[in-house]
Amino acid sequence: MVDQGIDELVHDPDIKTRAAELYYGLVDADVIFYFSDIAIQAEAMGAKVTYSRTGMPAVSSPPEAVNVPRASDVSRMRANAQVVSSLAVSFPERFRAALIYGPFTVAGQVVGEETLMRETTSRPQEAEKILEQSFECARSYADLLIEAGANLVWVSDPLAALIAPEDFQKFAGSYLRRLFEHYSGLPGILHICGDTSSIISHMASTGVTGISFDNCMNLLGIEDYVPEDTLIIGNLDPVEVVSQGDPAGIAASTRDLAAVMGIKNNFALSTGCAVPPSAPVENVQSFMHAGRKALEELGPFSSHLAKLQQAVYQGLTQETQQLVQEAGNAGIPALTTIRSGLTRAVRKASACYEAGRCHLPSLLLKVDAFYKGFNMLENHDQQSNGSQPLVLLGTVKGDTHDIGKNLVRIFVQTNGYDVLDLGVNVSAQEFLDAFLADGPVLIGLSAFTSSSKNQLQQIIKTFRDSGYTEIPIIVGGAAVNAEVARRAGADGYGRDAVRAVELANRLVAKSLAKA
Amino acid sequence: MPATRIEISKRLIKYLQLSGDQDGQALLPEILAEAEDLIEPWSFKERVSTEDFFKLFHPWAGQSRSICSLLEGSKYVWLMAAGLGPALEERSSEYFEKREHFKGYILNRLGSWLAEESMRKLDREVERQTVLSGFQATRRYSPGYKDFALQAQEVFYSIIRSKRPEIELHLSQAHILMPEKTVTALKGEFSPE
Repeated sequence: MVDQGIDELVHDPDIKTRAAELYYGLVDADVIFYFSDIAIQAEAMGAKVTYSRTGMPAVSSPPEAVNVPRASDVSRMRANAQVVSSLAVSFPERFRAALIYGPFTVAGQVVGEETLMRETTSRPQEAEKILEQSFECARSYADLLIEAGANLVWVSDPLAALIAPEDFQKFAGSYLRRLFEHYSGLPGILHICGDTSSIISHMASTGVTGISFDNCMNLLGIEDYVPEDTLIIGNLDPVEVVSQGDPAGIAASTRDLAAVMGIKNNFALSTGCAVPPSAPVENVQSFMHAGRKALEELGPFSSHLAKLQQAVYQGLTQETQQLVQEAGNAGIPALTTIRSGLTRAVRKASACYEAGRCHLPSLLLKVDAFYKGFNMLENHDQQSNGSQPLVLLGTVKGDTHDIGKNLVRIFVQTNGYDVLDLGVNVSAQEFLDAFLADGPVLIGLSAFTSSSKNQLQQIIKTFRDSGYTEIPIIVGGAAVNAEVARRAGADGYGRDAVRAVELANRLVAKSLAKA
Repeated sequence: MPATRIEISKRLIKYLQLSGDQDGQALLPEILAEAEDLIEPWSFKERVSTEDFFKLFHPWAGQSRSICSLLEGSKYVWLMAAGLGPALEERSSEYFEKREHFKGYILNRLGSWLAEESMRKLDREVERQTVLSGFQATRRYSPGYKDFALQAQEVFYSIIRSKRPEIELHLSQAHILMPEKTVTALKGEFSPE
């Protein structure tokens, strides 16, 4: 956006304003940020910070003496307030975030993360003292930004994910709650990096308007734990997808996320964490454009699809059929009904299964409801006419067990793949012939008996020796574990049908990206 | 066909992974009734001398350290088998074909449970008989466990075929007895002294 490096930009409000205005002129985000950095509050409290042209400012050493300055006395904070003030003029219709870092994260930077973590158990009064100072600093900084024109409070507290769930309220939640209560007239958003599934209720009880989830989280698995009046914000991978991907791939991933989460009234599409400064702006534009379009298209149908999704999720077959019929009558495209209604429900159920909240039979009841609806649309949708990626499955030669393989087939199919099931007792040559004839994107081998597991290596070797080194081959079955899979030369091991699909999704995405 | 009343015990519900799943449990009586109509339970037991056992199961038994260790000091070996007939498995597959996966899966798992229950019952019978004869019994052991090769199923298959030809049983190339819900095992009988 501008020629100057980050080390200059963070000190000069004019350069930063120019960069932000240029950026948000190209990227029509609903919430805009003033390009902040995680070191600013710790620096204000006395920590030493290093700057570089290409990297973000970082705390290099703790303060000799901790102080809590007024934000208006800190030059970098004043500079940021000036940027916010300019953005309020340039983009009056958008939300301008007062981005601050949570007391726990800043306290960790000031006294050292390990020291703070230790003090929460050994010297809690000391921990509370520094947390209180960090809180005062955060509040003073937020006051300054709001006074300058920020109209939304966004608190990032990445380090808080390290606190044990039972200690979260005491050492992070209570301070966050005080912050959000202080700005109760403004929308408040909380972001904590990493897996926050065990602290969602604590996060929600801080009084936030919305929770921003890290991209490592499966939103389908946690959506029921977020109150209906709290926004679920997230969570496209900002690094591997947005920063390192290409615009077409980003659009596809964004559409998928929007198709799954867009039927929720309390969903806001975003990245799972901050987008790196190095991300090409056309990538971010692709994300914005694809997301807006997908959500706009889904909008009129979302309430019906939400009902359908719920019916499938509850395993209600008759209601599912009726709602699929009504969806057709209402003009909802078959593919939309499948993706955002039927498939969504199975993906959500799979997420619950993965989290250990339900067993396989319960999942299969939902799958049955899925198929009751899917059968009605199968001939109308694009999933059955070869446009979906094909997965080749079979139980290896010498083995006639099919139940595990059948379960994988079901979950692969309900996740939007076409499946060519070669059945049981399938030889290496038969796998190879089918691969050459049908061009699958992935092959899944099942082995139930210990004697048949030797076949895995032979089949994989046949492919690799024939020069087909790129096709991902995954293995599973009662006779297989991660070590057997590794020895056989497989690209992955699916412990059960649901995990096999997760693995397939990852490997297919990777292999398509390579292609 | 002997009447079979399958008790819906907590243990069965847990085995079927239906604990806490009210919707799934509500469908269970219907599936159990269907299973009762489909199964044709059979069992088989025969006692052979240990010497004959090693001859019959040559070379698989002799090559298996775990079998040699298990049968050390045993005078006799009990051969046991139990099965349910093919109909339950066929119906389970039909349900999968019809995309009624819950029923297909529960029937399949129920088949495993019932076959294992039959074997357990047979095991207890043999145990009782052994004790009445003044002997003691080892634990039961099956082909495919540890180093006892699955090929030993060939011998079970031949013996059952010759003694009970009315039982519908096949052996796959991979030495798996079909129908799959067929369980085989052996048990040593030794003198307490």
